[in-house]
Amino acid sequence: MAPIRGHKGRATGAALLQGNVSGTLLGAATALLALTAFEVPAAAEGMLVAAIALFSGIWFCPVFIAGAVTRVTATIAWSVTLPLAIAAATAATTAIPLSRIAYPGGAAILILIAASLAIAWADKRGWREARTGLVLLFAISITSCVWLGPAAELAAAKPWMASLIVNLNPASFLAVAAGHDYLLDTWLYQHTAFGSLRYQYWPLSLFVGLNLVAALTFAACLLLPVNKNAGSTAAT
Amino acid sequence: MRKGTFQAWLAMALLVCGGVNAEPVMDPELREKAGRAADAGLHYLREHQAEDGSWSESVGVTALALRAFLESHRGYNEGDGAFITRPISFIMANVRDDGSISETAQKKNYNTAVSLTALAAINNSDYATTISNGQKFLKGLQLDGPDGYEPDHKYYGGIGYGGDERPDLSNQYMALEALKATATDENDPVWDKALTFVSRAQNYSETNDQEWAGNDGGFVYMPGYSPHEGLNSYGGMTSAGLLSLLFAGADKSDPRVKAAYDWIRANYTLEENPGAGNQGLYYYYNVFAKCMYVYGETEIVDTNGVAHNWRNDLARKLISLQQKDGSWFNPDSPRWWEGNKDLVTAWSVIALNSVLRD
Repeated sequence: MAPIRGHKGRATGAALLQGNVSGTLLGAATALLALTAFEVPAAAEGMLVAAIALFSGIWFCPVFIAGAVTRVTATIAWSVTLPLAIAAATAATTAIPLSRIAYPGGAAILILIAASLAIAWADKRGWREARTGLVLLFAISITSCVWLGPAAELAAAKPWMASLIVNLNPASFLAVAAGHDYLLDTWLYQHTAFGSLRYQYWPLSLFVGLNLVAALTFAACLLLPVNKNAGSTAAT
Repeated sequence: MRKGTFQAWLAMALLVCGGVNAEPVMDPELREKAGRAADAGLHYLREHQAEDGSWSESVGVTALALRAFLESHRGYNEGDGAFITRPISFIMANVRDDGSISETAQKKNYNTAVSLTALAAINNSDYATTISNGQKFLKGLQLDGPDGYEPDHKYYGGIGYGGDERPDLSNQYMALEALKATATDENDPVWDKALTFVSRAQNYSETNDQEWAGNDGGFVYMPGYSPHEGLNSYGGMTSAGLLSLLFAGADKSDPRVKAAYDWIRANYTLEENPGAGNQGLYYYYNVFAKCMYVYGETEIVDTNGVAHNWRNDLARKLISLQQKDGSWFNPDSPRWWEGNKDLVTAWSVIALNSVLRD
């Protein structure tokens, strides 16, 4: 196993990976428990499990200290393995079938690959707060349907504006993969303006393409030689 | 009785009866103006129709605009040209294997329902299979036992946007309208189940078993939720609720129907969507016109004892709100797509079609 370093400081070894995985699973279990308190439509269940996997994957993503190829490979492996583990654990312990998680879970894996590679690349550049920034960015964009609702309503004469806001939300990729219009779910319909506005989800292929391009870009950046002037940690 | 006297009495009786029957249901001058307003609206729609016959790149809007033409006082049909046949082709091109008719995976109930209502208005047996498959699709959306909703669940019998989104009274009424327009068997269980859901969206504790239910007789968007201030009833949903009750087989003697009609009497206005201000205003005009037409009274006597000819009032209001280009839209609130001129013009013309129909 390649040495790894957590996001709060330097450390190596499998213990930290175990810590990350444990933390991830604990967080996911807590979130799933919280889910049972709400009335969630069947298709949205898969979306929510995928979203939990996505956030956990970003927040607990280890930074692998290794050669460029190994680093990219290990990061991708993490991004694939964690959502699969969470999906399997969910299917085993709840009434949510694996088939319901499969498509949004696949979307979460794609987003997570791009995000994890972005974190690895930022770490290589010495941007240690990148992970926190990325988590914040995801939190802001995933809740944008709530806090950007009034702005979208003002711009409702231009339906492309509402569509843009909706589609920049990572939850929309999960929703399109799940075949579920989450903005019409009871809570969101009641608390945001989007359900009553005109918007159009992008096609699934566009979401997949954009995330693949992002992942390939960050992978390429990781594989390129490091600028010696940059605060690289790759050799540490 | 001499023959001449009998003939004179008969002639007088016929004159009187004829006079009663011929009594106009609305002001003749206003009827003419309303007809011209509908024509201008249809002209706007023709001017803004896409090359493929659609409007606003939407099956739903296209079906509504098509219905506006088909049910207009001009009596347009397939023989009148491409402006009718192309939207039909557009709708038929979006028929899916599951029986739904939609350009998108979202809002399949809405799109399918308004498409079926438009196809029924064509009155051409060529579309019988599409209509039959569409009926099955709509009935399949209704939440019941196999979906995990038992009769005591607040969503039982309801229909939502499609997929597994929560049901609501607006989607319910459109689905029921389509099922009614396409002559669904009145003994089909879909109606009874629908009545259960519709009753649970009414602020009428006599028949609504939900704890939140008030007692004014009006309707909210879905059991336990109104988008306008608490759980207050409002005009658009009350007309949709009353129309749903009538479609599902309740008659004027049904206490739910009486309570809903009493709410309309107590809140009669066309200056706004009562209980919702200017939000959903044209939705209200559209469903109010259809509801009053189906209810079948020429005048509504409000709770102050004032009689209102709803046809005259609605015609005057829509004429006053029409834009110079023949369109309508809601400049005060774009919610529920009311900023879309194609949609709102189609709704307004359909409302005028109900006004102009005796």
